[in-house]
Amino acid sequence: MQLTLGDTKPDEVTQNIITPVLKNSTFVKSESQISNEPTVLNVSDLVERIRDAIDTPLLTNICVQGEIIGYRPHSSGHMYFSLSESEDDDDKATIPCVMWKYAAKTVMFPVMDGALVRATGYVDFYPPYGKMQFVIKKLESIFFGRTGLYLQKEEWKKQLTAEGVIPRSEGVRRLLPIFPSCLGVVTSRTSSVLQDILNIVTRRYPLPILLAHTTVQGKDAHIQITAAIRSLQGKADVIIVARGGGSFEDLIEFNHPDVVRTIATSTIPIISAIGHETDTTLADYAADFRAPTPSAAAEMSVPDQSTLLYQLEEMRKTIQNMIIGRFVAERNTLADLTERIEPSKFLRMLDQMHQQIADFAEWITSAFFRRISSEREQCRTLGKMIIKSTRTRIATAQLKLLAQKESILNKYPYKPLELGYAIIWKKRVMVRSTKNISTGDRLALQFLDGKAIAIVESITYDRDSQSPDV
Amino acid sequence: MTEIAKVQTYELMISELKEIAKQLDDPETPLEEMMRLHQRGLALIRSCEEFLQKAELTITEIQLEE
Repeated sequence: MQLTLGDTKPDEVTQNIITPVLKNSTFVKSESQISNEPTVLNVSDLVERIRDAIDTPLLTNICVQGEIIGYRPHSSGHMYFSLSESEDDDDKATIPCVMWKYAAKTVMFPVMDGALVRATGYVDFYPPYGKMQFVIKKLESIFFGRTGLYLQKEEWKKQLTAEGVIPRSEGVRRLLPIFPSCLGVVTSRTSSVLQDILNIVTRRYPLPILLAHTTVQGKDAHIQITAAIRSLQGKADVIIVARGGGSFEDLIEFNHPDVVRTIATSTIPIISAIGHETDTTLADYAADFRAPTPSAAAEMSVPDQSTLLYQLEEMRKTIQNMIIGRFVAERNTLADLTERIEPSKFLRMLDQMHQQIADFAEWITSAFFRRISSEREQCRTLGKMIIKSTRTRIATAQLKLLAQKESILNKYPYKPLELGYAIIWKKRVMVRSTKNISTGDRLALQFLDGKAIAIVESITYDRDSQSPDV
Repeated sequence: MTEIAKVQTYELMISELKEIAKQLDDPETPLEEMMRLHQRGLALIRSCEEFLQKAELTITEIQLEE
């Protein structure tokens, strides 16, 4: 924790202040007291001694720099928090602080945990709680000077990104009107920027311009810029927020969350043209379009009259050509129809049709006769086929018959008799083997042309039974 | 502005012109309709040209909202 008092160096302060204080302070002990027991004090006396001890320039009107922790806004309007080292080491020192309502009102930046601040005030001892605290009369954000502003901008950027205000996503971008009827301009009325815009608009597409004058830099400029953008809502149909080039400090106000939120929530598309092309402010992230220069912004916001007039002239020619083209087409169609229903052509058509009919009739007759002769031819062929197949069938049948007759005859038991054989019967049973007969049997012999009776005298068995011995 | 209704903004006139061009391009459009559209188109073009030539730049400073 760093303790400074105005511009003097700490070590000088300490020498010429501390010695007088210690001389006339009740705190100094008489010789008699040092040797023997300490005097017994009541609490209020002790508190009184502490308050006297801290009532020293060393601890009044001093400026402390540190990080806010444990911030709690109070309904009374007082602020309670602690200041601690801004490093992250463990044994960091902390001091409880209070800022009474009248002083809290003067704070111009969002007080929150983690904010780096510089507090001016005095150390006090609050008897009811027996608590040492630092009473703040003035509180400044550490964000001052160029580094501070960078830190401030980054802080705002983090905050606005977390809220989803920036960056403006493609899908949410509001389209610029093709033919705007009123252009809103947020800039300073005395700036050359306004003149640039007017020149461009006058040349390209003259239309009513609503100027919302605002200061474009300096402390609290963001309040005017925000008000200017709001006042154009519902009046213009496109807005340019513009300022000329400047240092980082000059442009800082266009990074203020209020300006960025107002741009993001505008119902009208906004083109930002802030600083040089190389400068980027948080306002650019929230705007619908970003132009490198105010003149470019003007060119983006309005169409070009000469181009429109040229397009109108082209359109005139186009519809002229269309109507002429159509008339030409209609005349051609008419001419074609006229020709087609022209009498002589009509008669020729009739002749053609007659000819067609005659051809047709002739064709039919010849086709008829061709059909008749081919039918006759078919019949003749069929007839021949029938005769031939019938004969074949008859011959086949005859052959079959003969074969059957042959096979029947072959099966005629008496067939062998024609060859000189005889059938032997014994008691009406045909004898096929000498084993079926014995000596003395009475046999009937059947010949082709009659029968005979025989008695068996002797039987000789032939091993291979080819011809019996007679 | 010519006989075109004053209320029509430049944007409406241009979009009507585009529609007319589309219909003139369509062979199905009856001839009488084409002639009517042709006249309407020329009138719209005249009125748009007039709008552009008559447009003028005016600059008004507005009061900021508190």
